[in-house]
Amino acid sequence: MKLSTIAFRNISRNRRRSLLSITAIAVAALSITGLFSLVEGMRIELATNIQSYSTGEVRIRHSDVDRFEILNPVHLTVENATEVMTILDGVEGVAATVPRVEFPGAIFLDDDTVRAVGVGIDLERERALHDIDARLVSGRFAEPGRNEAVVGTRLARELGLGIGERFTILTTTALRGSNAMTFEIVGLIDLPVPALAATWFLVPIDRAQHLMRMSDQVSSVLTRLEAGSLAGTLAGSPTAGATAVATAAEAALHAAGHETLSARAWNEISDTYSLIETFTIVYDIIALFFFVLGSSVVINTTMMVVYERTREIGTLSAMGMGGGRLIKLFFLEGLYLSVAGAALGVALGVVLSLVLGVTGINMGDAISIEMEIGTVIYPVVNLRSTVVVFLYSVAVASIAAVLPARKAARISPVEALRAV
Amino acid sequence: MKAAAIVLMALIPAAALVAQSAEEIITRMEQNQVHDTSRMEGRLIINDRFGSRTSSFISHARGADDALIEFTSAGERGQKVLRTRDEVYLFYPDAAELIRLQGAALRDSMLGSDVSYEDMTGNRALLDNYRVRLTGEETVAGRPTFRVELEARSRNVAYPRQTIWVDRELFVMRRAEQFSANGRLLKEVEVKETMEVSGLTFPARMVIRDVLKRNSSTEFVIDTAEVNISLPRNIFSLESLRW
Repeated sequence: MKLSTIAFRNISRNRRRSLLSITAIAVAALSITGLFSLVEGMRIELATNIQSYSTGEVRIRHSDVDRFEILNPVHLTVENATEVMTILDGVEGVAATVPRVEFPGAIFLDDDTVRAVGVGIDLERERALHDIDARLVSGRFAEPGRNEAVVGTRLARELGLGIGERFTILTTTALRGSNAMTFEIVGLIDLPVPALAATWFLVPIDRAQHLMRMSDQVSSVLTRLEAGSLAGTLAGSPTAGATAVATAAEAALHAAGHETLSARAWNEISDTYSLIETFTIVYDIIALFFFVLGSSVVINTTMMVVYERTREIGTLSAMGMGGGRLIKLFFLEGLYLSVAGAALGVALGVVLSLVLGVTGINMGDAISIEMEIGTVIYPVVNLRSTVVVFLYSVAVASIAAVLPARKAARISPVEALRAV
Repeated sequence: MKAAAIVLMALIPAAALVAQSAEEIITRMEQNQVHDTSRMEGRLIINDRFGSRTSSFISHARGADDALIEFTSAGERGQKVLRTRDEVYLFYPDAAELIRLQGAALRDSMLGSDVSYEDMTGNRALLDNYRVRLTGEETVAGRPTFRVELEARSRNVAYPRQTIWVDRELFVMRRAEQFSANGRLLKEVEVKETMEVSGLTFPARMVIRDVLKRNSSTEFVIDTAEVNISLPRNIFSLESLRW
């Protein structure tokens, strides 16, 4: 009789115990599949938010801004912005350039002061970076040349203002003086990142430049890359393409005399993204612990089988079955249990992740407002990590079965036949 | 014992005289520096780690409470700061609304300088707000001065404690140090030049350092001054901000 047939028959001899082993492995595989899908969902959302709202795929700005960030160095600008964008448009891999003027400031209410960040945008160019129209929840976008603003929903709530009402913001200008401007709210925008929804309002870039005493200057130029629709970049190497374009863009700008500017890839800018990448390694370690825990049930089952079937092992040995074949027999039993458990767990994990990928998981306060991530996370099933989870769980559980099997193989036939 | 009593009796009037002198010193200093009315043109030269820049202004003042400052340099042309007894208003030509500063916002830096709105615009009636004490005589920048300690009577002041060095001959401030309630030094003021107009002597060039800012100082320069002049009616009103 084939070993595989014997192994399969042995599994079905005690169905309840086999079911327990399968369940333990399935729960471990389900948990890890779910966890990986959640982390993948967070990673994709974070990357999308960073690229859409903060940095583009490559961000160009004055090289000293990072150094003096804490001092609000709004005077460190991208000068001759029109020329800079023309140069960037000629860099291989750049699909679109998006200028931004950012001005943090204070909005004075009757009894309170609200800190906010105005963002001057070129709406047409902004559309190349992200689906800004889908975010507008009411009203319309501000028109160039008019002191109009589209305000983040949470900021509007904090200000207690709605469409048709006005607010005045006081800010520091690019000349390092101060200036204030009154804007009429013409629309409300629902930005996915809580920190942005609570502080951002969007105005036409020409009005932002006027307020900030900028001529042909902007705070930064964001770029979208050709290969990189966001999904494309994320599916491939999320970093290599952007880093290469950043290097080429900076070289082109320096060659044209814009030596004060630096170009950086999005993944090099965001601390939060680096944190998520670090977390991914931690989650891999957590996954290993899950499987070890799940596998302990398999070890226990196999050990019990070995003790219960000592006489049988002795008989098989007396009939000439060697130690290697005995180990193979128990390994096959463990393999069948783990394949069944892992398949069941991964399948349930994928189904659960797909459902939650549509409905989302509201993380509430668990997500810090400082993170560039929304409070509702949509898990994303990553095919590669799902296959890895399946193979990983099969491997760990099967290897776990070998340990007691080796003990069985070392029992001498005479000793085994004496056992009750 | 009797001798000790005599010494004590002798010291009491001397201490009273010193206390009175401190008030006199401050009063005479304010007579010089706080004018019934004034019109001044000057500059703020702001130095920080990013370089130096200059903002010019015209200021009108009435007594210790009312002041109107209008900036004339290109970057801030038309911007105005109005200080009345209790409030500070900002006018910006690009804004449809006046901004009323209150509370902590009064201590915000004006134009990124070492001068806060509160410093620039007023409440200079020191004796209304501070108890004063003469603590010695020192030489500052080659000039003999009285050293006067000021302690706030209420919390309603920017600096709960100050030390001012007042020129013994001209009764004009030569130096000042301004402290928080817990004694932390917040600002230093050095008077580099004085100006005499209509018999009144007041600082014409001061260097102010916000010690909480690194590599930063602001030079406050008065180029021309007229004192005790006739000012337009309602110049210190909200309507005047929109002129």
